Amino acid sequence: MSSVNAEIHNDIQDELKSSIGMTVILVSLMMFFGTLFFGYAVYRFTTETWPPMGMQKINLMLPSMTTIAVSLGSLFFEISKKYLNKNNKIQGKNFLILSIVMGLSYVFFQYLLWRSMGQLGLYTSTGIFASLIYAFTWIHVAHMSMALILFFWAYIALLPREINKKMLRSFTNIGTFWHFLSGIWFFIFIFLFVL
Amino acid sequence: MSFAIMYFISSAFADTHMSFWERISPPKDISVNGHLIDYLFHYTTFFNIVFFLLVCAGLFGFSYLYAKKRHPIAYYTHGNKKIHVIVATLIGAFVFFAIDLNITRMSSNDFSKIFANFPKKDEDVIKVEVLAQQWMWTFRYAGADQVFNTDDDVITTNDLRLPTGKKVVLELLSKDVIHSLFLPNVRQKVDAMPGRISKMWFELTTPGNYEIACAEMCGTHHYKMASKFKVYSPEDFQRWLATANQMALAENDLANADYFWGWQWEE
Amino acid sequence: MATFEQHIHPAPTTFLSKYIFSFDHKVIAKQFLWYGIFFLAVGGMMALMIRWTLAFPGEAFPIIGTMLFPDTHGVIPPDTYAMLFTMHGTIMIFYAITPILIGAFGNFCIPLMIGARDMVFPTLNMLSFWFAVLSAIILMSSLFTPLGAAAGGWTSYPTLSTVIGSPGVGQTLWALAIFVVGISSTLGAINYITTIIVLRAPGMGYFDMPLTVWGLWLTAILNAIFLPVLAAGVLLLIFDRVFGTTFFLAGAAATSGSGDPVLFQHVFWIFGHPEVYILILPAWGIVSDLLSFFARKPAFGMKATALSMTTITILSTLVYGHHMFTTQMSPLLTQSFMTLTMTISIPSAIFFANWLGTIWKGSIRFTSPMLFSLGVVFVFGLGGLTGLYLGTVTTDLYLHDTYFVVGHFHYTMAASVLLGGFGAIYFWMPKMFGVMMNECLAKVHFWLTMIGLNGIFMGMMIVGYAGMHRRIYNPFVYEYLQKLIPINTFITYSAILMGLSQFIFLYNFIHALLKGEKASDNPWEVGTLEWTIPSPAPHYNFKEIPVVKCGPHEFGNPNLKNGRDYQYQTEQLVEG
Repeated sequence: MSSVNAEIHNDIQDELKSSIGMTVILVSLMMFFGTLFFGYAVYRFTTETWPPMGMQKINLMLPSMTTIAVSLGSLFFEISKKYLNKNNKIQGKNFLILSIVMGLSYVFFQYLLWRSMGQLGLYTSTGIFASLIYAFTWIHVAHMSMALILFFWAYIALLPREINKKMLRSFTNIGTFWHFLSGIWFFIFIFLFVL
Repeated sequence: MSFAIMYFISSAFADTHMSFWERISPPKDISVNGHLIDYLFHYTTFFNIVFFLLVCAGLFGFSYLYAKKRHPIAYYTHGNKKIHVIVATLIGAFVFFAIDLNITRMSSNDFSKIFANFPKKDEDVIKVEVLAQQWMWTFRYAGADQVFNTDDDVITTNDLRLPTGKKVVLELLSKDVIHSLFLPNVRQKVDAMPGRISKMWFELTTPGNYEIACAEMCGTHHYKMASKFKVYSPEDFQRWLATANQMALAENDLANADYFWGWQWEE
Repeated sequence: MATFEQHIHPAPTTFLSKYIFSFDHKVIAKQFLWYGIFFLAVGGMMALMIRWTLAFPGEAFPIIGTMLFPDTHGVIPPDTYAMLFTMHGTIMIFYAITPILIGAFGNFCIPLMIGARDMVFPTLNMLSFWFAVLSAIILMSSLFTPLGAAAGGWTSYPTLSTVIGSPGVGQTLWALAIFVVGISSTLGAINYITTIIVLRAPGMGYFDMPLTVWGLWLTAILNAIFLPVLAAGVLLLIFDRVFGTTFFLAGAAATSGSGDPVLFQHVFWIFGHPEVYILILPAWGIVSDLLSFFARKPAFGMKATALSMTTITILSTLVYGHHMFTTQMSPLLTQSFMTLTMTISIPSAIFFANWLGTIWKGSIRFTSPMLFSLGVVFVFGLGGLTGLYLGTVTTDLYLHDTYFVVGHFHYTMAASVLLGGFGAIYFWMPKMFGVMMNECLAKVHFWLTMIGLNGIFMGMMIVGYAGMHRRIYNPFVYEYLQKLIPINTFITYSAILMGLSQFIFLYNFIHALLKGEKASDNPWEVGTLEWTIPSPAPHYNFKEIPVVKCGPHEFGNPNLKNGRDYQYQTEQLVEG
């Protein structure tokens, strides 16, 4: 077997490895968040009025901002990846920085959300309504922080490298993780804030 | 080694005044429907023994017959011939249809027609509210006015008294953690949960003194969460309830807010 | 499956990279094995303390009692008793069985049996072990907190496990430890699933994989799917305990709003029922293989066995409700769960038939691994059949939360898995460490363990049927249980017998490691891939990636003319 062939083979293998591994991780995370949403559904259906008596819905302003930040983060990252695919490192870097900024502003908006909830008198122990919002946002922020760390890692460790299949694959995986979390945030936004 | 085995056996049969079967049989069944559960248990046991003997026959029989010294050359088969597949499937089907579906049908019938079929609203039943807490049982009878949470309610602690010959419905709630009301003589148990009322019904046959246990782990003194269970004849029960009602009217401490832990009966 | 190049990295040289932070699946397997055996001993000791209390309430635990419980002169106090059974369950499930069967044998067998040089993600593999260690440290440290370790049972139902029922920090640490061990197992699962899909040797289809690998694969799939469910549950529990949320608080205790303690039970058992199969599937796979190896006969209906295991895996996700019959779900739900539960017996019966079919007309060699496998058939038969009483709702109304349940699940989860694990240790010892264990001692160990465990678990079912409920410190405060004192004593003596007989194993194991007889490359005369390489398996396993040409159980082929009665998987199937 010629060395070119071997390289192609290794590439297929790496592709397979990373895609299967990533699928399993996403299935696991889906089950994790699925369980949380299952819990949410149970609370929601067994409570007669929602939000429960004496509580009001959260103003949609901050959650909407968060949604926008997350979606833009996704978008910028995709654009960055596209430039990298075209070997344009400078634009790739710029858009990566933009998505990092979006990630940071996501965390900031969540912080504002928690503060505003405190001002509304909604604390963790106020009841199931507040508990749900706090728990979901905490867990989501924890996961997003991991994604953000991966963004930083991409910036520090991946970008300086020469652009090759392996590096792009890492980029794709990080992106998939972020998109997945954006999707989850979308559900959180709909179920916990809008509905 | 042999000493240890001897010790085992002697320890199991040391008290000769009780036969081994008596020792391992469940407590006396004092309810109208408990025999259904016992019957299903024995029915399942019968089939289990038959099936397990088959497994043992295969396991020990084949081990004996096909040990290397008796059967030096193995028969080469992958077990995927038609006949093999049919036999394996037949065994699977036999277990499913002969045992499983039968007991499922029986159990399902018993459950939906009896155990989960609570007395109708207009039926004359004994109603008792049960409050579980760490680590005691409190029982509340509605008293003369038949309404719960009023000042003539009879309240007993760790002492359930019920008559024979009349359906009894219990409603349970827990004050703190999950408990489980276990009446071994009635063959039933149901969890008592905080924030969610659960129910149980039965009808008793034999007067006497029995015991109630908590079956769900509920903390350090879970093992001591026992209650007396006294079964009266209907007349004795009426007599007791009347006296208790008088005493309740005289002694209930209405100023204590904790007294009104009862709830409106849920039909 | 195309041939993939798998690089051979140079062997690590420093002590740290070779034995501690190793990427080599074989070293990680051994680490898991030591870890598992250590916790097996700890959990077993706890079991003995529990048994002692039940048989001799109020008497000091012999020898080490006064050292451990000086305040009570060696008598185990009730709160410690609750901690003991909680930790016994948790440790045995997550820190003993899981590491031995899945951690050690999963890591060891998968690459060797599918002809790979290592796992796909060696780093994840190493992390998986160290997460497990971290989790164990968290769990064990909870024993030394002021109010002691978790004491709400291994199921830790709220509201007992919230601050209402257990104010100490131990319960929080328990939940955290479970969360971390969940991460560890999920990382392992990602690795196993991917490795089996990607790195099978050329020519090896899914049905050419040994059934051990099938069992481990299905286990990994269940792990990856259902551990996150538990993780979500315990995470919310941690929030309730630490941050004061109200997910599982209800009734008089919740300040406002109302949580739902039963939700935790749902979440717990959605995970918990598959967990039973997570533990038993590797053992089933190993036993299916060993029966064929030592009956010198191809595994009977191998495809059907593999598919039955898969069916059970799928069904196991749909039946969890039978753990919750006494919480009064709606009757319709109750009946559905009962019926679904019963369907599990079809695939179970089929592979039982296949196990017996495998030894039928074989030429059985009663080596120690074979004895243990036959033992599994026996105890799992008992365990599986007694499950019927608990799957039917009406008998469960009486038997739920009694010792009958304890006996039943110990038969299925403890006895079968333990015997399967011992069988695996005796069988793969030569490939793992390059030495043979003493057969005679192994057989003594088998028979004593077998007598002991049947005494224990059969006894438990008997006292359970007689009405003795679970998790009670002193059953004899109840009048109707007093007649059970002799049987409880009998169970305890059986437990002591079983506990003592493990010293035979320990002696045998350590003796073999220190000065055991050197093993040949293929001492059991078996044809799967791991036996084509030297013992112990060398660094990077296979010099040349093997090419698979036949199934894993080719024994007794009458057309074989080379004096062997088995074929290696790398050889073309000889046909007449």
